[in-house]
Amino acid sequence: MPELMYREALNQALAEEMERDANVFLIGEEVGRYNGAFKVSQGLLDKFGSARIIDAPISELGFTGLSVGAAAVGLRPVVEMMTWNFAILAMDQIVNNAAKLRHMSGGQLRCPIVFRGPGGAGGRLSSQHSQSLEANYAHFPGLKVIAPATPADAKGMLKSAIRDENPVIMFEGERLYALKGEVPEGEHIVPLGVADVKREGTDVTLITWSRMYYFCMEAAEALAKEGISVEVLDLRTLRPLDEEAILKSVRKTNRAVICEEGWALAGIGASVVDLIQSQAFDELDAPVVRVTGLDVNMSYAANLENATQPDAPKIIAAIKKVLYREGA
Amino acid sequence: MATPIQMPSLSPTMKEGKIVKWLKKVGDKISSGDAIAEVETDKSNLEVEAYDDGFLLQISVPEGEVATVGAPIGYLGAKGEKVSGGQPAAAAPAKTEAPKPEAPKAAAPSAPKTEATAASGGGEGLAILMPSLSPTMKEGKIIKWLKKEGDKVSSGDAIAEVETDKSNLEVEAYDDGTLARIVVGEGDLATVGAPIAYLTPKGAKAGASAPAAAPSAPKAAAPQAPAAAAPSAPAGAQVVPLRREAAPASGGGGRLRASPLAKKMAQERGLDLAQVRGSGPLGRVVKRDVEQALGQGLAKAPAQQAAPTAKKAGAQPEARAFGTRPEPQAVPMSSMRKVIGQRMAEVKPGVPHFYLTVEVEMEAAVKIREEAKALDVKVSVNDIIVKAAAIALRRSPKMNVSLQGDQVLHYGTVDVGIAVAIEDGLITPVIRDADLKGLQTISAESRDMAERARKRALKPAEYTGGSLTVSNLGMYGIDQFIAVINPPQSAILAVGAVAEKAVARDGQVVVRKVMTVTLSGDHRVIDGATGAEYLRELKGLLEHPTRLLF
Repeated sequence: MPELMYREALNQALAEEMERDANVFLIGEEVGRYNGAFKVSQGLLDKFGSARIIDAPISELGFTGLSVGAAAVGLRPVVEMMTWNFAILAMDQIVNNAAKLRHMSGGQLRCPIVFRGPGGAGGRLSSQHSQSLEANYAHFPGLKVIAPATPADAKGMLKSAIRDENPVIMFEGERLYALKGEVPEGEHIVPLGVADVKREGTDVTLITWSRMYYFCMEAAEALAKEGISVEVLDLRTLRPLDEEAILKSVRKTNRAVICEEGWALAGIGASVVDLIQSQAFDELDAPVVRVTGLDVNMSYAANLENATQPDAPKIIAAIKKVLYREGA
Repeated sequence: MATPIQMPSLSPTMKEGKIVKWLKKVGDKISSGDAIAEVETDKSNLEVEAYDDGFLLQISVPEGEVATVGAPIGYLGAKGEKVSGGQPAAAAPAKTEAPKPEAPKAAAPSAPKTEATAASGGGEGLAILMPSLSPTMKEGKIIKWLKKEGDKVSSGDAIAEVETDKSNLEVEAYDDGTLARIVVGEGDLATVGAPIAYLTPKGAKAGASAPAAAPSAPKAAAPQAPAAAAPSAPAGAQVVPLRREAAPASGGGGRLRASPLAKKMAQERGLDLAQVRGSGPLGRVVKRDVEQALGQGLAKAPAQQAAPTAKKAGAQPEARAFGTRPEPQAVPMSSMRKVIGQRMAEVKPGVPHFYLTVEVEMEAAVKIREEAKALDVKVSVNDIIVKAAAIALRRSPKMNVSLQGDQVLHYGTVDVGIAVAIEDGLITPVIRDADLKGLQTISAESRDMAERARKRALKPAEYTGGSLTVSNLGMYGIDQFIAVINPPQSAILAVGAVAEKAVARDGQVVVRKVMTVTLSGDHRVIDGATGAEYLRELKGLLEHPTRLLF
């Protein structure tokens, strides 16, 4: 299996889907002649031409609205947000139109559209450009929200998202784009709404998604040396949540730690905790513990930026806490 | 301060335990977690562990004697410390040795023997103990007394502020009364479990409990007051704190702290959480504590200890002198025998039984066993019956129930008990998920559990739960019998021998292998028709075992 970077896996998915379906097009800032701010659309302009790889002006609300309209009349737009921080401007189109067209038209209109771009901290980009906004979008019925961590999942899920009949929000990551992993060639589909046990374990379920996945694997690796067996459950899709997979794993291990990059209050992890306590209360041997970004705006200073985010030592401490191990 | 080691509750039905063997002797150094004695319960032989570090100061219940659950069997404390007033052998209500004609020594060794009540409270002075307020706390420092001697105290009142290794917390009273005496002053340390003060309970005569008023002479132990017997100790003894040993898990708050999972596990396996020491924050009982408590069910070499007297009694005298007629030998009931007796006496009037009998043609089932044999796989007819009983239960969910209080538990799993006769009793290990297991697995598990049952090495978790038991006396040539339900299960199948019989089929008398099965059902939760449907399903499965596949 070839090893690809996350950005190359996305590129492959886009190219394959555009070849497969002439209704698919890509729009966004710098996606064409510049080959994408993070080089996800490298080479696509040459391959598919400017009618299907569209360089938009810096007007998120404008090109998002335009794309929602295109989806409503039968095209399958992929809208690239340079980062999700900028897409806040376009939230009205996403939330009030894309998420609701199907419902408000009684099913007469569809909105098969993908909004994708990097979320989370990129490294010394300060508070306006370092936000993890997936919880905001996961809040809305009518949207699907995905946040794959690995190149293989990125490819398989983007392909599923493009084929989905509903609006899908895809969170990538500036620090994910250059990460490498094995990616199946050709038709590789990862269904939406299905979590993945990336590492099996018996002592605690470590639930995560996107970039935090790598810290979780690091923590699991370190804890294995202490004889602690950690099951890492990569949610991959944040809406709809794969409740069955979460409960199955927690029922097995009796303990859970949730790691997310975003803020704790009203975060995705809060909903996962709610699910666990309401559906698996009697299986719990310890309160569920969350490891989240600190409840502050992101600092520019590198040391403070690192201190603000979850990392392997923080995850290890949380796991020891739910295992009632000393040193927690 | 000497700490009593109590007879723990090691099985759901255990009321008392017999000390089979002391693994430590007086003066031995003990660490928390050490096995200190081997105890025979009604179910198996288990080890008693120490919860504290110290030295074994005294053995109160000698080997071979019985103590009720909660009664002190020995005392732990600092090296050379005297057990204040501890009266040996205060525990045994059940007289122990068989009355041997030559031995009028049935009377207690030295001091007048007392009744079990001595151990379980009923005295007048209550010790307030230094609670365990953090998982790692070994001792606490009294920062401040919030009540003074003579103050009235209500249950729940904060009486002192204590500094632990983690934080400062308040100690609460568990009882109403008057603070009689403070024994650990402000700024002083006390180890966890040591008395820090004494309380005169409400209604008790003040002064009676104050240490100063301790009975100073043996005569104070008035014969008519057995409750006060414990202090009937050597003169000069200090007052005996009649300890109300807080349940280990109740930590500082008086409330039992346990994780939801620990509670569920304890309930499923009939474990009393109050007997389990919690290792989580504030003494919370968590999974590993329950597992440890259940895991203590691994008796090491119980065989020769299990029922030696019974063996002797049962054995034929090798040579009998001519003309002599040996007297009948009185053998004390084993703990298991006692519990069986007591439970059966409760079940028959307590659980309204009804009975349904059916004949089952066993040609096909017997053939399965033969085919298994040809494949070198060990499967008995009983294994096939267990499997069929399980599948039938899965298909008759109304049968898979158990009455618990005023609630009917509907099981989502099919767990089938198998009655195993062992020396001097019987026990019913449970095959979990028997409906999901293959015959080979059922067979292997049955043999393993029966084997361990005979060694009295089953864990409590292995003989609790389930809704139905299969009791098979076919191997003794019994044609049919009626079994007594093993509560809280709701049914039992009494299985007779597979025997060739002349039966009428299509107007012809033919010979068939026939087995008679009688179902006893708990009529409070199962009706005759439900039981009949179940038996019909069972009969169908056994006569046409291919149906087991669907």
